Amino acid sequence: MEGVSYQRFPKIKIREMKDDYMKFELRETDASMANALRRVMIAEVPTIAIDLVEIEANSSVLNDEFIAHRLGLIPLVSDDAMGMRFSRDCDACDGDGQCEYCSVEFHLNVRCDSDQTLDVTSNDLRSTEPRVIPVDVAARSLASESGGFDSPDQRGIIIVKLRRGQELRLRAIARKGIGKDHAKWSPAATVTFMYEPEIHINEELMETLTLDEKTTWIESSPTKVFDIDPNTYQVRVVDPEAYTYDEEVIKKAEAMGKPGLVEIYAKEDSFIFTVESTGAIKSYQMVINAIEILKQKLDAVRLQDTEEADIGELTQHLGRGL
Amino acid sequence: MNAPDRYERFVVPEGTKKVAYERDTKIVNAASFTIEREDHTIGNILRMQLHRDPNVLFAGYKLPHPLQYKIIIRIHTASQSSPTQAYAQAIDDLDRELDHLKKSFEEEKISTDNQSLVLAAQEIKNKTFLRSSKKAVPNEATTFVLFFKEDF
Repeated sequence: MEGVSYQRFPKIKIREMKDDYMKFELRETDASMANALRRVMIAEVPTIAIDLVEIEANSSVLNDEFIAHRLGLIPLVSDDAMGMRFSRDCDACDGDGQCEYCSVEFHLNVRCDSDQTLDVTSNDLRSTEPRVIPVDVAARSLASESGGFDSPDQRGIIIVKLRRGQELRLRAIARKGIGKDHAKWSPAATVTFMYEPEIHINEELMETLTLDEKTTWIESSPTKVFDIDPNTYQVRVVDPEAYTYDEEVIKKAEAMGKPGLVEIYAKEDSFIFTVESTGAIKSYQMVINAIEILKQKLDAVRLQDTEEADIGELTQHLGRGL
Repeated sequence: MNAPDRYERFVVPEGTKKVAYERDTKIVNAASFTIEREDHTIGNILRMQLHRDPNVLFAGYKLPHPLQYKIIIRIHTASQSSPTQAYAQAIDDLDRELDHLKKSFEEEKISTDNQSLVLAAQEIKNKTFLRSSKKAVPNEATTFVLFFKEDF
Protein backbone atom coordinates (compact mmCIF):
# COMPACT_ATOMS: atom_id res chain seq x y z
CA MET A 1 0.00 0.00 0.00
CA GLU A 2 2.73 2.47 0.85
CA GLY A 3 5.53 0.37 -0.55
CA VAL A 4 6.97 -0.80 2.74
CA SER A 5 7.79 -4.44 3.11
CA TYR A 6 8.99 -6.56 5.98
CA GLN A 7 9.78 -9.47 3.75
CA ARG A 8 12.62 -11.89 4.42
CA PHE A 9 14.86 -13.62 1.89
CA PRO A 10 15.56 -17.10 3.22
CA LYS A 11 18.52 -19.12 1.98
CA ILE A 12 18.56 -22.80 1.11
CA LYS A 13 21.40 -25.28 0.92
CA ILE A 14 20.76 -28.88 -0.09
CA ARG A 15 23.15 -31.27 1.59
CA GLU A 16 21.86 -34.59 0.38
CA MET A 17 19.12 -35.49 -2.02
CA LYS A 18 17.71 -38.89 -2.92
CA ASP A 19 14.27 -39.85 -4.18
CA ASP A 20 12.98 -40.70 -0.74
CA TYR A 21 15.36 -38.79 1.53
CA MET A 22 16.62 -35.26 1.71
CA LYS A 23 18.60 -33.09 4.07
CA PHE A 24 18.80 -29.34 3.67
CA GLU A 25 19.59 -26.12 5.51
CA LEU A 26 17.09 -23.31 5.77
CA ARG A 27 18.49 -19.97 6.91
CA GLU A 28 17.45 -16.39 7.53
CA THR A 29 13.86 -17.07 8.45
CA ASP A 30 12.18 -17.97 11.74
CA ALA A 31 10.83 -21.06 13.45
CA SER A 32 7.23 -20.25 12.47
CA MET A 33 8.11 -20.64 8.78
CA ALA A 34 10.13 -23.81 9.35
CA ASN A 35 7.31 -25.31 11.40
CA ALA A 36 4.64 -24.29 8.89
CA LEU A 37 6.58 -26.08 6.16
CA ARG A 38 6.96 -29.17 8.32
CA ARG A 39 3.27 -29.22 9.21
CA VAL A 40 2.18 -28.74 5.60
CA MET A 41 4.47 -31.54 4.36
CA ILE A 42 3.02 -33.97 6.91
CA ALA A 43 -0.64 -33.09 6.77
CA GLU A 44 -1.48 -31.08 3.68
CA VAL A 45 0.54 -32.16 0.66
CA PRO A 46 -1.89 -34.30 -1.36
CA THR A 47 -1.25 -37.85 -2.54
CA ILE A 48 -3.38 -40.62 -4.01
CA ALA A 49 -4.52 -43.60 -1.94
CA ILE A 50 -7.19 -46.26 -2.16
CA ASP A 51 -10.32 -44.93 -0.47
CA LEU A 52 -13.29 -46.96 -1.67
CA VAL A 53 -13.27 -50.75 -1.86
CA GLU A 54 -16.04 -52.89 -3.28
CA ILE A 55 -15.47 -56.50 -2.34
CA GLU A 56 -16.96 -59.00 -4.78
CA ALA A 57 -15.64 -62.15 -3.18
CA ASN A 58 -13.55 -62.65 -0.09
CA SER A 59 -13.04 -66.09 1.35
CA SER A 60 -9.68 -65.22 2.91
CA VAL A 61 -9.03 -65.27 6.65
CA LEU A 62 -9.14 -61.48 6.90
CA ASN A 63 -12.48 -59.69 6.98
CA ASP A 64 -13.53 -57.18 4.32
CA GLU A 65 -12.82 -53.97 6.28
CA PHE A 66 -9.45 -55.30 7.38
CA ILE A 67 -8.44 -55.79 3.74
CA ALA A 68 -9.89 -52.42 2.72
CA HIS A 69 -7.79 -50.75 5.41
CA ARG A 70 -4.64 -52.56 4.27
CA LEU A 71 -5.26 -51.52 0.68
CA GLY A 72 -5.62 -47.90 1.77
CA LEU A 73 -2.18 -47.92 3.36
CA ILE A 74 -0.34 -48.99 0.18
CA PRO A 75 1.56 -45.95 -1.12
CA LEU A 76 0.75 -45.13 -4.74
CA VAL A 77 2.86 -43.03 -7.14
CA SER A 78 1.31 -39.59 -6.70
CA ASP A 79 3.25 -37.33 -9.06
CA ASP A 80 -0.05 -36.27 -10.61
CA ALA A 81 -1.82 -35.56 -7.32
CA MET A 82 -1.25 -31.79 -7.39
CA GLY A 83 -3.10 -31.56 -10.72
CA MET A 84 -5.94 -33.83 -9.72
CA ARG A 85 -9.26 -32.80 -8.21
CA PHE A 86 -10.59 -33.75 -4.81
CA SER A 87 -13.61 -35.91 -5.51
CA ARG A 88 -15.73 -33.71 -3.23
CA ASP A 89 -15.19 -30.70 -5.54
CA CYS A 90 -15.23 -32.62 -8.79
CA ASP A 91 -17.87 -31.30 -11.21
CA ALA A 92 -17.37 -34.07 -13.76
CA CYS A 93 -18.81 -36.79 -11.57
CA ASP A 94 -21.29 -37.22 -8.76
CA GLY A 95 -18.76 -38.46 -6.28
CA ASP A 96 -19.00 -42.17 -7.04
CA GLY A 97 -15.37 -41.93 -8.03
CA GLN A 98 -15.63 -43.12 -11.62
CA CYS A 99 -14.08 -40.17 -13.37
CA GLU A 100 -10.64 -39.49 -14.76
CA TYR A 101 -10.24 -36.12 -13.00
CA CYS A 102 -10.57 -37.33 -9.46
CA SER A 103 -10.13 -41.08 -9.24
CA VAL A 104 -8.22 -44.13 -10.39
CA GLU A 105 -9.75 -47.59 -10.43
CA PHE A 106 -7.95 -50.76 -9.35
CA HIS A 107 -8.92 -54.38 -9.75
CA LEU A 108 -7.70 -57.36 -7.82
CA ASN A 109 -8.58 -60.91 -8.72
CA VAL A 110 -6.62 -63.71 -7.09
CA ARG A 111 -7.46 -67.31 -6.36
CA CYS A 112 -5.30 -69.97 -4.80
CA ASP A 113 -5.42 -73.36 -6.51
CA SER A 114 -2.26 -74.96 -5.18
CA ASP A 115 -1.35 -76.58 -1.90
CA GLN A 116 1.13 -73.86 -1.16
CA THR A 117 -0.03 -70.65 0.51
CA LEU A 118 -0.38 -67.85 -2.00
CA ASP A 119 0.67 -64.29 -1.11
CA VAL A 120 -1.60 -61.57 -2.45
CA THR A 121 0.62 -58.52 -2.86
CA SER A 122 0.62 -55.02 -4.29
CA ASN A 123 1.85 -56.68 -7.51
CA ASP A 124 -1.58 -58.17 -8.04
CA LEU A 125 -3.33 -54.79 -8.14
CA ARG A 126 -4.29 -53.90 -11.69
CA SER A 127 -4.51 -50.16 -12.26
CA THR A 128 -6.57 -48.50 -14.97
CA GLU A 129 -4.08 -45.60 -15.06
CA PRO A 130 -0.45 -46.64 -15.73
CA ARG A 131 0.90 -43.53 -13.99
CA VAL A 132 -0.78 -44.45 -10.72
CA ILE A 133 0.61 -47.76 -9.48
CA PRO A 134 1.93 -48.98 -6.13
CA VAL A 135 5.29 -47.34 -5.34
CA ASP A 136 7.18 -50.61 -4.86
CA VAL A 137 5.92 -51.97 -8.21
CA ALA A 138 7.09 -48.81 -9.98
CA ALA A 139 10.50 -48.99 -8.30
CA ARG A 140 10.97 -52.62 -9.32
CA SER A 141 10.04 -52.10 -12.95
CA LEU A 142 12.48 -49.17 -13.06
CA ALA A 143 15.23 -51.33 -11.54
CA SER A 144 14.70 -54.18 -14.00
CA GLU A 145 14.65 -51.77 -16.95
CA SER A 146 18.06 -50.39 -16.07
CA GLY A 147 19.38 -53.90 -15.59
CA GLY A 148 19.38 -53.72 -11.81
CA PHE A 149 19.29 -56.72 -9.54
CA ASP A 150 15.99 -58.46 -9.15
CA SER A 151 16.30 -59.69 -5.62
CA PRO A 152 13.87 -62.46 -4.66
CA ASP A 153 12.78 -60.84 -1.39
CA GLN A 154 11.25 -57.93 -3.33
CA ARG A 155 7.84 -59.49 -3.65
CA GLY A 156 5.68 -56.45 -3.06
CA ILE A 157 3.56 -55.46 -0.11
CA ILE A 158 1.60 -58.42 1.23
CA ILE A 159 -2.11 -57.76 1.49
CA VAL A 160 -3.32 -61.20 2.59
CA LYS A 161 -2.32 -64.87 2.29
CA LEU A 162 -4.61 -67.46 0.70
CA ARG A 163 -4.76 -71.25 1.09
CA ARG A 164 -6.22 -73.72 -1.41
CA GLY A 165 -9.69 -72.77 -2.54
CA GLN A 166 -9.69 -69.26 -1.09
CA GLU A 167 -10.09 -66.24 -3.31
CA LEU A 168 -10.14 -62.47 -3.24
CA ARG A 169 -11.91 -60.39 -5.87
CA LEU A 170 -12.46 -56.69 -5.51
CA ARG A 171 -12.69 -53.27 -7.13
CA ALA A 172 -10.97 -50.34 -5.45
CA ILE A 173 -11.07 -46.63 -6.12
CA ALA A 174 -8.10 -44.46 -5.29
CA ARG A 175 -8.64 -40.78 -4.66
CA LYS A 176 -6.67 -37.68 -3.95
CA GLY A 177 -6.55 -36.69 -0.30
CA ILE A 178 -4.48 -35.07 2.44
CA GLY A 179 -2.90 -36.36 5.63
CA LYS A 180 -5.25 -34.25 7.73
CA ASP A 181 -8.13 -36.40 6.50
CA HIS A 182 -6.39 -39.74 7.01
CA ALA A 183 -2.72 -40.55 7.58
CA LYS A 184 -2.72 -42.88 4.55
CA TRP A 185 -2.63 -39.75 2.38
CA SER A 186 0.45 -38.32 4.05
CA PRO A 187 3.51 -38.38 1.74
CA ALA A 188 5.83 -37.97 4.72
CA ALA A 189 7.50 -40.79 6.59
CA THR A 190 9.27 -38.22 8.78
CA VAL A 191 9.85 -34.51 8.52
CA THR A 192 11.97 -32.95 11.25
CA PHE A 193 14.02 -29.84 11.72
CA MET A 194 16.56 -28.81 14.32
CA TYR A 195 18.16 -25.52 15.25
CA GLU A 196 21.77 -25.34 14.16
CA PRO A 197 23.94 -25.31 17.30
CA GLU A 198 26.75 -22.86 17.83
CA ILE A 199 29.44 -24.25 20.16
CA HIS A 200 32.10 -22.11 21.80
CA ILE A 201 34.82 -23.76 23.85
CA ASN A 202 36.56 -21.58 26.43
CA GLU A 203 40.10 -22.55 25.35
CA GLU A 204 41.78 -20.86 28.29
CA LEU A 205 39.69 -22.74 30.83
CA MET A 206 40.00 -25.95 28.80
CA GLU A 207 43.79 -25.81 29.08
CA THR A 208 43.51 -25.99 32.88
CA LEU A 209 42.18 -29.54 32.47
CA THR A 210 44.40 -32.61 32.42
CA LEU A 211 44.14 -35.02 29.51
CA ASP A 212 42.16 -37.46 31.67
CA GLU A 213 39.75 -34.74 32.71
CA LYS A 214 39.29 -33.73 29.10
CA THR A 215 38.52 -37.32 28.13
CA THR A 216 35.96 -37.79 30.90
CA TRP A 217 34.36 -34.47 29.98
CA ILE A 218 34.14 -35.48 26.31
CA GLU A 219 32.69 -38.83 27.26
CA SER A 220 29.95 -37.17 29.33
CA SER A 221 28.24 -36.24 26.08
CA PRO A 222 25.82 -38.99 24.99
CA THR A 223 26.54 -38.19 21.34
CA LYS A 224 29.96 -37.70 19.80
CA VAL A 225 30.24 -33.92 19.57
CA PHE A 226 33.84 -33.40 20.76
CA ASP A 227 37.12 -35.26 20.50
CA ILE A 228 40.81 -34.75 21.21
CA ASP A 229 43.30 -33.68 18.58
CA PRO A 230 45.90 -36.48 18.56
CA ASN A 231 48.75 -34.01 17.94
CA THR A 232 48.01 -31.02 20.13
CA TYR A 233 45.80 -32.79 22.75
CA GLN A 234 43.31 -29.97 22.41
CA VAL A 235 39.58 -30.51 22.64
CA ARG A 236 37.88 -29.79 19.35
CA VAL A 237 34.33 -29.88 18.02
CA VAL A 238 33.99 -32.71 15.52
CA ASP A 239 30.27 -32.72 14.85
CA PRO A 240 28.24 -29.81 16.24
CA GLU A 241 25.03 -31.25 14.79
CA ALA A 242 25.36 -34.41 16.84
CA TYR A 243 24.52 -32.24 19.85
CA THR A 244 21.00 -32.99 21.04
CA TYR A 245 20.60 -30.01 23.41
CA ASP A 246 20.84 -32.40 26.34
CA GLU A 247 23.20 -30.01 28.26
CA GLU A 248 25.11 -32.98 29.68
CA VAL A 249 28.50 -31.40 28.87
CA ILE A 250 27.46 -28.16 30.56
CA LYS A 251 26.34 -30.03 33.70
CA LYS A 252 29.55 -32.05 33.64
CA ALA A 253 31.67 -28.91 33.41
CA GLU A 254 29.83 -27.48 36.41
CA ALA A 255 30.28 -30.71 38.35
CA MET A 256 34.00 -30.57 37.59
CA GLY A 257 34.08 -27.07 39.02
CA LYS A 258 34.64 -25.42 35.63
CA PRO A 259 31.44 -23.54 34.82
CA GLY A 260 31.56 -21.75 31.48
CA LEU A 261 33.89 -24.33 29.95
CA VAL A 262 31.63 -24.47 26.95
CA GLU A 263 28.82 -22.27 25.70
CA ILE A 264 26.21 -23.64 23.34
CA TYR A 265 23.54 -21.58 21.61
CA ALA A 266 20.80 -22.54 19.19
CA LYS A 267 20.92 -20.27 16.12
CA GLU A 268 17.37 -19.03 16.01
CA ASP A 269 17.27 -18.37 12.28
CA SER A 270 19.01 -21.47 11.01
CA PHE A 271 17.38 -24.88 10.60
CA ILE A 272 18.48 -28.28 9.42
CA PHE A 273 15.65 -30.23 7.84
CA THR A 274 15.42 -33.96 7.34
CA VAL A 275 12.67 -35.07 4.96
CA GLU A 276 11.79 -38.71 4.37
CA SER A 277 9.12 -39.67 1.91
CA THR A 278 6.95 -42.78 1.71
CA GLY A 279 7.81 -42.88 -1.98
CA ALA A 280 4.46 -41.50 -3.12
CA ILE A 281 6.15 -38.19 -3.98
CA LYS A 282 9.89 -37.58 -4.36
CA SER A 283 11.35 -35.79 -1.34
CA TYR A 284 12.33 -32.73 -3.37
CA GLN A 285 8.88 -32.47 -4.92
CA MET A 286 7.36 -32.79 -1.44
CA VAL A 287 9.10 -29.61 -0.30
CA ILE A 288 8.18 -27.73 -3.48
CA ASN A 289 4.56 -28.86 -3.15
CA ALA A 290 4.52 -27.81 0.51
CA ILE A 291 5.65 -24.30 -0.44
CA GLU A 292 2.97 -24.17 -3.14
CA ILE A 293 0.24 -25.38 -0.76
CA LEU A 294 1.27 -22.88 1.90
CA LYS A 295 1.01 -20.12 -0.71
CA GLN A 296 -2.46 -21.28 -1.67
CA LYS A 297 -3.49 -21.33 1.98
CA LEU A 298 -2.27 -17.78 2.47
CA ASP A 299 -4.14 -16.62 -0.63
CA ALA A 300 -7.30 -18.19 0.76
CA VAL A 301 -7.11 -16.22 4.00
CA ARG A 302 -6.85 -12.84 2.28
CA LEU A 303 -9.59 -10.47 3.41
CA GLN A 304 -12.03 -10.42 0.48
CA ASP A 305 -14.17 -7.37 1.25
CA THR A 306 -11.32 -4.99 2.01
CA GLU A 307 -13.26 -1.87 0.99
CA GLU A 308 -16.10 -2.64 3.33
CA ALA A 309 -13.72 -3.15 6.21
CA ASP A 310 -11.73 0.01 5.43
CA ILE A 311 -14.89 2.08 5.24
CA GLY A 312 -15.86 0.71 8.62
CA GLU A 313 -12.53 1.85 10.02
CA LEU A 314 -12.83 5.23 8.33
CA THR A 315 -16.31 5.97 9.65
CA GLN A 316 -15.13 5.08 13.09
CA HIS A 317 -12.30 7.58 12.78
CA LEU A 318 -14.68 10.23 11.48
CA GLY A 319 -17.10 9.47 14.28
CA ARG A 320 -14.34 10.07 16.80
CA GLY A 321 -13.26 13.26 15.07
CA LEU A 322 -16.68 14.81 15.08
CA MET B 1 -21.83 -44.08 14.26
CA ASN B 2 -22.37 -40.44 15.11
CA ALA B 3 -18.80 -39.38 14.47
CA PRO B 4 -18.56 -36.10 12.58
CA ASP B 5 -17.29 -36.33 9.00
CA ARG B 6 -13.52 -36.06 8.74
CA TYR B 7 -13.70 -33.42 6.06
CA GLU B 8 -15.30 -31.04 8.55
CA ARG B 9 -11.77 -30.28 9.67
CA PHE B 10 -10.81 -28.56 6.45
CA VAL B 11 -13.87 -27.80 4.32
CA VAL B 12 -15.48 -24.45 5.05
CA PRO B 13 -19.23 -25.05 5.51
CA GLU B 14 -21.55 -23.38 3.02
CA GLY B 15 -22.75 -19.95 4.03
CA THR B 16 -19.74 -19.33 6.25
CA LYS B 17 -17.03 -16.85 5.36
CA LYS B 18 -13.42 -18.03 5.31
CA VAL B 19 -12.30 -14.83 7.01
CA ALA B 20 -14.55 -12.67 9.18
CA TYR B 21 -13.38 -9.27 10.31
CA GLU B 22 -14.63 -7.77 13.53
CA ARG B 23 -13.56 -4.36 14.77
CA ASP B 24 -13.06 -3.74 18.45
CA THR B 25 -15.73 -1.35 19.70
CA LYS B 26 -13.71 0.03 22.59
CA ILE B 27 -10.21 0.49 21.16
CA VAL B 28 -9.27 2.32 17.95
CA ASN B 29 -7.23 0.35 15.45
CA ALA B 30 -7.88 -2.97 17.10
CA ALA B 31 -9.66 -5.86 15.43
CA SER B 32 -10.10 -9.62 15.39
CA PHE B 33 -10.01 -11.82 12.32
CA THR B 34 -11.79 -15.14 12.62
CA ILE B 35 -10.39 -17.59 10.10
CA GLU B 36 -12.41 -20.72 9.48
CA ARG B 37 -10.77 -24.14 9.05
CA GLU B 38 -7.22 -23.02 9.73
CA ASP B 39 -4.81 -23.88 12.53
CA HIS B 40 -1.33 -23.16 13.91
CA THR B 41 0.21 -23.46 10.44
CA ILE B 42 -1.35 -20.20 9.29
CA GLY B 43 -1.90 -18.63 12.71
CA ASN B 44 1.70 -18.76 13.82
CA ILE B 45 3.34 -17.54 10.59
CA LEU B 46 0.89 -14.64 10.38
CA ARG B 47 1.49 -13.70 14.01
CA MET B 48 5.28 -13.77 13.60
CA GLN B 49 5.10 -11.76 10.38
CA LEU B 50 2.84 -9.18 12.05
CA HIS B 51 5.42 -8.81 14.81
CA ARG B 52 7.92 -7.64 12.19
CA ASP B 53 5.68 -4.66 11.35
CA PRO B 54 6.61 -1.71 13.62
CA ASN B 55 3.08 -0.29 13.29
CA VAL B 56 1.65 -3.36 14.95
CA LEU B 57 1.36 -2.80 18.71
CA PHE B 58 -0.13 -6.21 19.40
CA ALA B 59 -0.65 -9.35 17.36
CA GLY B 60 -1.69 -12.72 18.67
CA TYR B 61 -3.67 -15.75 17.64
CA LYS B 62 -5.60 -18.45 19.41
CA LEU B 63 -7.17 -21.76 18.60
CA PRO B 64 -10.21 -21.48 20.91
CA HIS B 65 -10.91 -25.22 21.05
CA PRO B 66 -9.33 -28.22 19.32
CA LEU B 67 -12.71 -29.33 18.01
CA GLN B 68 -13.71 -25.90 16.69
CA TYR B 69 -11.75 -25.71 13.49
CA LYS B 70 -11.03 -21.99 13.49
CA ILE B 71 -8.46 -19.52 14.71
CA ILE B 72 -8.81 -15.94 15.91
CA ILE B 73 -6.10 -13.43 15.11
CA ARG B 74 -6.15 -10.21 17.07
CA ILE B 75 -4.31 -7.16 15.81
CA HIS B 76 -3.80 -3.77 17.42
CA THR B 77 -1.93 -1.14 15.40
CA ALA B 78 -0.62 2.39 15.76
CA SER B 79 -2.77 5.19 14.33
CA GLN B 80 -0.88 5.50 11.01
CA SER B 81 -1.89 1.95 10.13
CA SER B 82 -4.96 -0.23 10.52
CA PRO B 83 -5.49 -3.89 11.37
CA THR B 84 -6.75 -4.66 7.86
CA GLN B 85 -3.73 -2.96 6.32
CA ALA B 86 -1.28 -4.79 8.60
CA TYR B 87 -3.05 -8.08 7.94
CA ALA B 88 -2.92 -7.65 4.17
CA GLN B 89 0.71 -6.55 4.34
CA ALA B 90 1.69 -9.60 6.39
CA ILE B 91 0.06 -11.96 3.88
CA ASP B 92 1.75 -10.19 0.96
CA ASP B 93 5.16 -10.38 2.63
CA LEU B 94 4.78 -14.07 3.46
CA ASP B 95 3.62 -14.76 -0.05
CA ARG B 96 6.72 -13.12 -1.49
CA GLU B 97 8.95 -14.90 1.01
CA LEU B 98 7.54 -18.22 -0.21
CA ASP B 99 8.04 -17.19 -3.83
CA HIS B 100 11.65 -16.45 -3.06
CA LEU B 101 12.02 -19.74 -1.16
CA LYS B 102 10.63 -21.73 -4.07
CA LYS B 103 12.91 -20.00 -6.56
CA SER B 104 16.06 -20.50 -4.50
CA PHE B 105 15.09 -24.11 -3.85
CA GLU B 106 14.78 -24.81 -7.56
CA GLU B 107 18.09 -23.10 -8.30
CA GLU B 108 19.78 -25.03 -5.50
CA LYS B 109 18.39 -28.29 -6.89
CA ILE B 110 19.86 -27.61 -10.33
CA SER B 111 23.30 -26.89 -8.91
CA THR B 112 23.16 -30.00 -6.67
CA ASP B 113 22.15 -32.14 -9.65
CA ASN B 114 25.03 -30.77 -11.73
CA GLN B 115 27.47 -31.34 -8.92
CA SER B 116 26.51 -34.98 -8.45
CA LEU B 117 26.70 -35.51 -12.23
CA VAL B 118 30.23 -34.12 -12.36
CA LEU B 119 31.21 -36.30 -9.40
CA ALA B 120 29.79 -39.41 -11.05
CA ALA B 121 31.63 -38.66 -14.30
CA GLN B 122 34.84 -38.09 -12.35
CA GLU B 123 34.49 -41.42 -10.61
CA ILE B 124 34.00 -43.37 -13.82
CA LYS B 125 36.96 -41.59 -15.35
CA ASN B 126 39.21 -42.42 -12.41
CA LYS B 127 38.19 -46.06 -12.40
CA THR B 128 38.78 -46.57 -16.10
CA PHE B 129 42.08 -44.73 -15.94
CA LEU B 130 43.33 -47.22 -13.36
CA ARG B 131 42.08 -50.14 -15.33
CA SER B 132 43.33 -49.00 -18.74
CA SER B 133 46.77 -48.18 -17.34
CA LYS B 134 47.17 -51.84 -16.39
CA LYS B 135 45.93 -53.20 -19.67
CA ALA B 136 46.42 -50.86 -22.59
CA VAL B 137 43.39 -52.38 -24.28
CA PRO B 138 40.29 -50.24 -24.40
CA ASN B 139 37.54 -52.15 -22.69
CA GLU B 140 33.82 -51.70 -22.49
CA ALA B 141 34.06 -49.16 -19.66
CA THR B 142 36.40 -46.80 -21.50
CA THR B 143 34.27 -46.72 -24.58
CA PHE B 144 31.33 -45.94 -22.37
CA VAL B 145 33.18 -43.03 -20.79
CA LEU B 146 34.22 -41.60 -24.13
CA PHE B 147 30.66 -41.70 -25.26
CA PHE B 148 29.52 -40.23 -21.97
CA LYS B 149 31.99 -37.36 -22.11
CA GLU B 150 30.87 -36.31 -25.56
CA ASP B 151 27.34 -36.48 -24.42
CA PHE B 152 28.12 -34.48 -21.35
